[in-house]
Amino acid sequence: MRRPPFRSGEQEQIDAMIETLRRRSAAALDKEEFTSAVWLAYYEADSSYHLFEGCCDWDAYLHTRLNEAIEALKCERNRRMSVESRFSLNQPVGRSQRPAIDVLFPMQGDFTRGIDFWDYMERLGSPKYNMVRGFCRRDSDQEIMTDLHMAAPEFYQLKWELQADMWKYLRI
Amino acid sequence: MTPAAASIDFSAMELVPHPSASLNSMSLNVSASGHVAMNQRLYEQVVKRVPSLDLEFRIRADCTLLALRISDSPTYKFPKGGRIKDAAFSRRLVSAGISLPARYAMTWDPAANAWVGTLENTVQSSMARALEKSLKSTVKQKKGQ
Repeated sequence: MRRPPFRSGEQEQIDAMIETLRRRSAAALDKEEFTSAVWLAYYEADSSYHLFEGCCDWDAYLHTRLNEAIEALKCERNRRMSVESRFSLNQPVGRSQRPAIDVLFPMQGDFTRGIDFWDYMERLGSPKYNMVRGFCRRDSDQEIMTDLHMAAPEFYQLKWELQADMWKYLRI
Repeated sequence: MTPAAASIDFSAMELVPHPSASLNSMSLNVSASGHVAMNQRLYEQVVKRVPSLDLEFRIRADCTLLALRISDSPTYKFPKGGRIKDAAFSRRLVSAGISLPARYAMTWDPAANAWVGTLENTVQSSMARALEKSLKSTVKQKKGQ
């Protein structure tokens, strides 16, 4: 079930909280990746709090879940550190400035699966469809939000829902 | 030595008791979502004696022992079904270092005119540890569903 829209000033509070957390505990992480992970953790916490409200109040629960997400992000970054050094597929190749992954694995797909995939995406509604188009173009979160004239809470809520949609798609 | 050839002194051997089946015993369960619920067996016993389910609900300061007492001045009313949402109570358990879900094995004490329950969980060293364990255990349950 989709949560009610944010009250006036609530989004700014969350933005400020995310920025404080980033400066305090994760200044070395990529800002966009961090913001995205924390917003997704926020929606996850919002949807699961009813299962845990007997353990602690909302603030303590949110704090715990956001810190777990940040720790997971740090672990992931540490795991990738060596990959992102000299042998990273994100390193540009030659003079083209194209990342190695683009050269080695150019974007091309299976026609039948592609039809299935985009048919499924269309059924999710146009906002999600357009977001996935953006992800496939490898646009950044900010670029997609600008293109689609979306505010951050709406974007991250849809992104969080898309995760669940993609798991459902993989089970089909 | 084959078992058949051994001379057995049964008096020197300890009796292994049959495991107590949790389905047949009375219990009060507290979930991470804040629900306090009597199991079916306890509910049947309570509703037989106190159809209104109005009771006096007491707990020891360390939260390891509680009592549901039949009283002339009851303070706690369980709804029909014996399950109530009481987040303040469940958070109190976490504050006392008890991770959720928690289970209290209940027995009827005629002298106290109460069902008395002892905690089956281990008490954690701190509230933070109990909270961490509570959040993890329910995640496991959620993923297992």
